Amino acid sequence: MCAADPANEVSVTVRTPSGEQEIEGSDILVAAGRVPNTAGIGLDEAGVELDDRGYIRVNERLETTAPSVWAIGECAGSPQFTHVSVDDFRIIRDNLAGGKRSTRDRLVPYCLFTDPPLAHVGLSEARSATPGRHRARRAVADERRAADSRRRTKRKAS
Amino acid sequence: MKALVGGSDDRILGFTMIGSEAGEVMAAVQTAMLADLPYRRLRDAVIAHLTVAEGLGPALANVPPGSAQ
Repeated sequence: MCAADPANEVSVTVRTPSGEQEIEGSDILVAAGRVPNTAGIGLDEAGVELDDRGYIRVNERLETTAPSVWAIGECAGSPQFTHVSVDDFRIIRDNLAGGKRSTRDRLVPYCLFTDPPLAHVGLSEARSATPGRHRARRAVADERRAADSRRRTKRKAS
Repeated sequence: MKALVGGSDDRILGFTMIGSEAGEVMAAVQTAMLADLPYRRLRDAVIAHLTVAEGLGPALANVPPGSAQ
């Protein structure tokens, strides 16, 4: 259940086994997920296999199970970002020209354009803490402190 | 800003930032990662004032001593 008011505030009532809980905020974001649109288009007749979740099965050079057929982007199970689809294109383009590029070990960043934005690349703290991974050191800075310092400098300069 | 640096070497393993121009700052760190640049090169870089990316220096100055040092 959700209610919005003119002051641009929303509240959501969540029904849980332990009772109702009200969450207040400014906006509601819904992540509905995506499914590959690969069913019923004759891929089986072309010999292009799908995996259990309906994504086109490809190797790390983006070759499908049918000779001379490649797949690219979300439908091939690549991370669901425009910049990854562009890199998939570059891999196929270069391999068509005789190259040997692959999707393995590519460093995939993401940026969530919230206000302020969130950006991430590489290992996360949680993943680095999983057993078998090497020990990592951590550095944290407070952007608010940095912004305050910039404002102070600006004031001094003006 | 949050950075993960290898425990036994000085390579940057990961970077996360919430704040203005986060995606632009990340591109600088990503470039250093692709080049296997020791984090200290980025920490000690002279980055133009008044930019958001200049915060990388103070942020990376918080990396605790490791076995690589």
